[in-house]
Formats: sequence, C-alpha cells, structure tokens
Amino acid sequence: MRFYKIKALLKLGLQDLLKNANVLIYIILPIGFAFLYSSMDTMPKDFCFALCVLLSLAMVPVALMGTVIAEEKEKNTLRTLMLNDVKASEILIAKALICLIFVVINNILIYYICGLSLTNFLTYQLIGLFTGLAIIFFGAVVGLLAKNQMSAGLLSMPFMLLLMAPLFISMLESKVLTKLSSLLPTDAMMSLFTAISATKYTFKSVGIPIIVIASWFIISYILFNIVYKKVGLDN
Amino acid sequence: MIIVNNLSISFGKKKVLNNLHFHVQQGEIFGFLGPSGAGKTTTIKILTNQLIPTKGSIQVNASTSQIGILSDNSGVYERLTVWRNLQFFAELHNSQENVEQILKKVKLWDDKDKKVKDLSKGMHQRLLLACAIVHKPKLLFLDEPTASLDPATVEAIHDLLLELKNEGTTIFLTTHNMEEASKLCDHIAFLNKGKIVELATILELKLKYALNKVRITFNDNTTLEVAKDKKELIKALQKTNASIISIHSLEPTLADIFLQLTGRNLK
Repeated sequence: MRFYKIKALLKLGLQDLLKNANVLIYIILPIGFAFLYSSMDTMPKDFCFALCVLLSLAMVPVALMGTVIAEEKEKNTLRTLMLNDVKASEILIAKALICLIFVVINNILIYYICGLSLTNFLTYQLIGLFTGLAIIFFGAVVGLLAKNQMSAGLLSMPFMLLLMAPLFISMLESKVLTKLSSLLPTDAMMSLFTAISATKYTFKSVGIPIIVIASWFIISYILFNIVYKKVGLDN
Repeated sequence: MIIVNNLSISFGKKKVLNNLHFHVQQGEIFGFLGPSGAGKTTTIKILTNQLIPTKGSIQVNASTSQIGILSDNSGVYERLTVWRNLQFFAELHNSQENVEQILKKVKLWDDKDKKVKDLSKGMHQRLLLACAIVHKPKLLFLDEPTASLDPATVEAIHDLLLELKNEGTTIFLTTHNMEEASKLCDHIAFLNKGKIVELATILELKLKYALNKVRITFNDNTTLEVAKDKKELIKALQKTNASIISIHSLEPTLADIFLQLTGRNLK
C-alpha cells in the first residue's frame, strides 16, 4: 500500500465529489431533514439527531460509496487508474475514506443543527463513525456489482431500506419485528444513543449494541470479500 | 523490450490471436497494423496484463510503473480541469515531471483551465496522451491514438511520438492508418484474423513487395507504366515522340502490401 497514491486519490476524489450534483444529494438530504425536524417543536432533540444520522448512514457509506465506484467504472477512469499502477485496495481505501469523512461531517452538522448539548458530542460522533465503518463494505459491494451510477442507485436500495428499517419498525409495534430490528447496526446505534442520553450503561444497553455493530462489520467485510473474489473491482 | 512467443487467446470457441511471435526493440516504434477486429487491442490487453493468454509467453521488460497506456478505454475526470487531471496523474506516479512542460508539449497549455467535458475530441485525446506520458514511461502502448482526429491534431501527436522516441521511449502502436505507420514505425507487423502475416521494417517491406515497375510522365500529360527492364523501357520509349518529364519507380504502399497479403483492406 502506497500512501502517496491514496493521498492523491483522496484529494482528487474530494474535489470531484464536490462538483458532482448527483451524489451531493446523498450528503445534503440528511442535513435538510435535520433542519426540517429540528424546527418541529414536538420532535425530541435526541430523536431528531438519531433519525438524521440514521438517514445519513443509510445514504453516505452505502449509496454514495457505491455510486462513486460505479461512476469510475462507467467513465473508464477505474481502468485507467489500474493501468497506472494503482491497486484495487488503494482505490477502495481512498473511496472509503472520502465517505467516512462525509459521515463525520454530516454527523457533526446534524448534531449542531439538532441543538444537542455538547456533553455527549464526542461519544455520539464515535458511535456514528463506528457504525459507518461497519456498513461501508456494503457500499463497496454495491460499487463492485454496479456497472454504472444508475445500477448503483438501484443496488443500494435494499441496503438502504434494511438500514432504515428500525424507523418503520418502531411505528409498527410488532414484538417480532422489533426483536429482528435490534439485530440491525442502525438500530444498535440508536440504542447506544438512547443509553448514553439516559446514562444507562448496562451490558444490555451498551454491550449488546456494540457487539451487534461489530458483528455487522465482520458480516459486511466477509460479504465484500466474497463479491470481490467473484467479480473483482473492474469487472 | 517486449518478447512474445507462441501467443494465442480464445474467447469461447473463437480463436482471436493465433500463435503470435514478435520482439520489440528498446527505443523503437513498433507498428501493429491490421483492420478492425484483427486482434490489435486484444494484444495490447494481454501485454498490459488486462487479459490472460490461453497459450504462449510474453516478456515485458518494464514494470507497471514504467508503462504508459492510451487506449479507447482510457478515461479522465470530466468535471475537473485539464491541469488538475494531469497534476493528479503526476501525483499518482510521484512524478517530478513538469505538468506545465507536458501541457505545452501536447499544446494544451492555453486550455489548462478548461474542464475536460468542454474539450473537443482532439484536445481530449491529447490530454489522454499527456496523462499517459506524464511519468516519462519507458514503454508506451498506444491503441489507435489518432483514430478519427483532425489532421492538425494528428500531426501534433505524430511530432510528439517522434520526440518521445528520440528521448528513448519504446512505443507499441496499433493503427489501421498506413500513412501513420510509414511515417512513425521502425518495424511493422501486419495482423490479419489473429495472425501475423508479415513482420519487417518499412524498407524491407517495400523491397520485398516492390512492384518492379517505373512510371514515365511525358510532356503531353500522358503516363506510362513499364517493367523495370532495359529492353521493355526502350521499346516503350520508341513508341512515343513526347519528351520525358520524369521517371519514378513504383513503390507499393503498406495498404497495397496488406491487400496483396490478405486480400482485404486495412479498414
């Protein structure tokens, strides 16, 4: 792994992304929702934050990551990079770093917009980043499978729905679905936010959600490896 | 620089390359000529590790970082400027080459602040070439670099390739443009239906396939093509009272040679 290559890819990727309206929407939308929800008097600040971070995590590490990889394929820049002595791992790391940078920026902005006190700022950010890391490989899988930006959008849908499922399930009041939802990384993240907000640090409220998120990191990494071995980066 | 022996590749039941043998010397421009679908791009893909051959061996005496490639699959970042794209490729190779100097070489300095999506086809191609040479590669693969470009751009690219050759870069060039090959290449391989049907220098080809005829132009605007034979020549000249303006030996073009070898045109 050569850091000067990752640095060059990271710099260019950030510049290119900021000029790409198609993918900026994935970053801007959760911020827009944060503004919207924070203006509602009935919405608790913690819930507003958790909701928007969840939306951001469904969009940035999955849809954004998948789309930026797919665009490189569509525009032939991925092939050009690989023919310029850049390894697939270097490209993927640079793309993942770009997405994680936006996960952090979004989480900070959402935290600020939702008006939460600074007490739990760092803990909330670390939880958001930890969850983002756990699901970034899903975005990479989307990128590996998609041939163009449009198919990346379609392929990210099931992942996005899965990650946003805790939102809908909480409205259904179904015990089975709630139990299943607790196995999702985004649900675990929301549980962690709740536990920290209520200063309730038990194994059930903190330990299990951390195990769930860590398990998803392993699951998504395994899935990524299977897909990568099957189709490669530039299929 | 490149040694290819017994190279074959099949896609399904279709044999795309069949038993290719050739060597490319260091510092030369090696022309790979053939009509569309002859297997030129496939050969480049094998030489650049994008495809694995079914049979045979290849030896490329340059590391991946010492190779530059320009093909119809090359891409640059359309939303960014010409300058930024080239700077990025220089950064990727940790290249000390001067981006400004390269842009001037490919005559894109005045357009350095233009976004790639606003470039003409010729300018786009010159940028791709600049990106391929920004790290001063030892070996440069060019897949039809001047296809469907305007004459001025073609001329600019040819000049640059000759300059690179003089600086010691080995160039592997695929084309179906015979004039381009005649002007640039030291050795030429004719590829037809996946097989090399001829491999030689331009001079060797012209001597081997010489038409053995001369064309005489007279002052009454008539021309006569006669065999390069003293008796035949005298006999022909005795038949006319017009004065001779010129006598030229007739040389075959690469297209004539290809046609003679394969019975098909280089298009």
